[in-house]
Amino acid sequence: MARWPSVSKKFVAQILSAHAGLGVVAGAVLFILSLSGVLVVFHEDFARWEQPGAPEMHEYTPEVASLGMANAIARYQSIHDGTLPDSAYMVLPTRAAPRMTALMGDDAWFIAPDGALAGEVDHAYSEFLIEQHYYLNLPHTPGIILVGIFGAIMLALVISGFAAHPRVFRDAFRFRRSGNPQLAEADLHNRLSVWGSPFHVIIPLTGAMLGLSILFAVVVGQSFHEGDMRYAFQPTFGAEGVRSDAEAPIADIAPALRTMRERRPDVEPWFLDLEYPGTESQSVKILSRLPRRLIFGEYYQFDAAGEYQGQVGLENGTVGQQIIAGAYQLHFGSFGGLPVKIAYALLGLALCMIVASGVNLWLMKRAARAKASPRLERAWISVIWGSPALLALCFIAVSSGAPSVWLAPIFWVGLAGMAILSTFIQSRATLSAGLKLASAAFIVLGVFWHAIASGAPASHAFWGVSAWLLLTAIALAAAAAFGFARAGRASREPAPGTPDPVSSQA
Amino acid sequence: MTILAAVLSAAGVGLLFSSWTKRAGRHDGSLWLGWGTLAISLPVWIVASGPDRGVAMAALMAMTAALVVLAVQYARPDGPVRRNASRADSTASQATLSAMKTVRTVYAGVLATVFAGVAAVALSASIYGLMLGAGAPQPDALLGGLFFFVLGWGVLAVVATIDIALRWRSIAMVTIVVLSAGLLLLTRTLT
Repeated sequence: MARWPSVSKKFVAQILSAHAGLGVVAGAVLFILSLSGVLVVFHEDFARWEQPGAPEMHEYTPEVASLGMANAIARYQSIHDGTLPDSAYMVLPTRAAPRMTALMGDDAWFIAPDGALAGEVDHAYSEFLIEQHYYLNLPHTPGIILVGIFGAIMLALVISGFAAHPRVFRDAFRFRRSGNPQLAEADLHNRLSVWGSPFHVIIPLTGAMLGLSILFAVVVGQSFHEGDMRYAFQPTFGAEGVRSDAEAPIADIAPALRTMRERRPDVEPWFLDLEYPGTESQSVKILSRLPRRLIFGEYYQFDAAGEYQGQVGLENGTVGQQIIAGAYQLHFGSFGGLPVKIAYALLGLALCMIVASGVNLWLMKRAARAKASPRLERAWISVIWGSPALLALCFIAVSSGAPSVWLAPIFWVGLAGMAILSTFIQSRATLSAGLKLASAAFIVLGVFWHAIASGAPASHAFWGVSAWLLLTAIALAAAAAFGFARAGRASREPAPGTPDPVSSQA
Repeated sequence: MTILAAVLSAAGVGLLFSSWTKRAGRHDGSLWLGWGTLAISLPVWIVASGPDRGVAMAALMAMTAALVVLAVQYARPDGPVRRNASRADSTASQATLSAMKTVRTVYAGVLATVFAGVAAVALSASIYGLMLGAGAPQPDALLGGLFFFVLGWGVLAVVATIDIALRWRSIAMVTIVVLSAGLLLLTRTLT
């Protein structure tokens, strides 16, 4: 008796065609989203690395936070002709990110342990990574919807991939590294797909849910809530207060923080929102992480005097509320410290390999049918290995004082230029190895440049991230050396049109 | 407890790998032992990390352990890779893309994005409305709607690109869009 479902070959071929078509069309963007996603998992670490001299604190008093907030609001008013911000936010120190910052409008400042302002927050590079992963560096609303659409396409690839490979679970550990390179590539693609399948379902599902939620809110708002799209989110995340124009002394956030500590000593406050400061409608919301929970936190609400008003319900509300609140952490891998981040990075890199090997397979199959696309093959290699090189180049640009608005053009124009120029390079192996070497060189240059510019401070985050980046550069350089050696062997082959011995260059 | 859970996850994947590599036609008992160990690791993870976080950790640990096994396999080639003449660096036999084929590809892309998207959002908004109408809390309806929006779009994108005649795909997608929009209008009227 057959344990595995029997599916007609015709159906498999039809689905496989859909799988290949979707993968090829969306491959480059999915690869860039996957790669930037791997880096965004560490965005807090990158932010600490970028400004290693910023003050850090593992303990703080409510009075220090209150003084920091007052100083930040005063600075904001001095910049903006006495105007108060609509909301004044504060990122509170946590174990993962022990820094206190105040944010209002487009301004952000670090707060020193004594409550004084300690310089502007300027994480241009980590912001660029976030902008790329969330919005593909586009304006936010169309950008996040587009990213959501690519999430849905990635989910379509997962669905069609499993439908097109009925044997994929039976062969769950089959890994042929010898013989036909196409089979080896297919095994790499399928094995990583099988064993990472929960990750490959959850990441696009949660990503697309987050990205497409605006579109969904517009439709359900129009259809069921008299055009009010905000109602789609309010019962889940809580409603904004109604602004009053009547003035009042700016609320002190210290009583709310003290009440929070007394009521829930088990939770870790990490974000504070002073809404409508300086008006009679001002209030305080404190977002706190809960131990042993997947949700990104719970909003605890206080009035201007610091009296507890209740909580939104992400912690103990409806099932839908709790699952939606968990989707963020599941997507970004921020629920278990460094070990979970490393696991996410490994699985994210596996996802990059799946995308790369998928397009490689398509190119191999075309070549096998005498429809080789050598220019496309080289352009694909430049996307795969040019992306890390350009991401590293962007960091060098930031460290050199280039304005942050240059980063997106450097990356996207650079990638397009690289894809065009790559078509003039004859050897795929040389191109691939060259780009790996460029990536390694740019990373090393960026790390040392940054170390010199920042004075190489004695910070765990600084040295930790630098060490990881240098290890990555060493791995890339080793891969490049291996690639150059193989390209050299291939060039010594006697006959013209010698086959490339490298099964997969990208 | 976390260490015990991690050990169980790793052992489960190890037993599965052992079963796969040793089998000759059929799996032996270690297949079920492997799955069983992974299943046992789930409640241990829940005790160690909490209910929702525990489930996530169990899946994550199993995937990471499998990734390690695959990495070891990948780094241990079982022979030289045969040259692939079809992927030569030569520029011979370049394919050309006809204008008609390009138009068909773009049209299929429109089916998979615009048509599939419109159908999915209409269908999922109907589900949202029906759930609200049935008395479900709004956040649950939001979750249900968003889930089916994304899943529906994914499934319909596959339908739009499956290798059957383009006219049949077009008819199918237009029909689905019309039916979904009709369902949304009906739901809106009823609720």
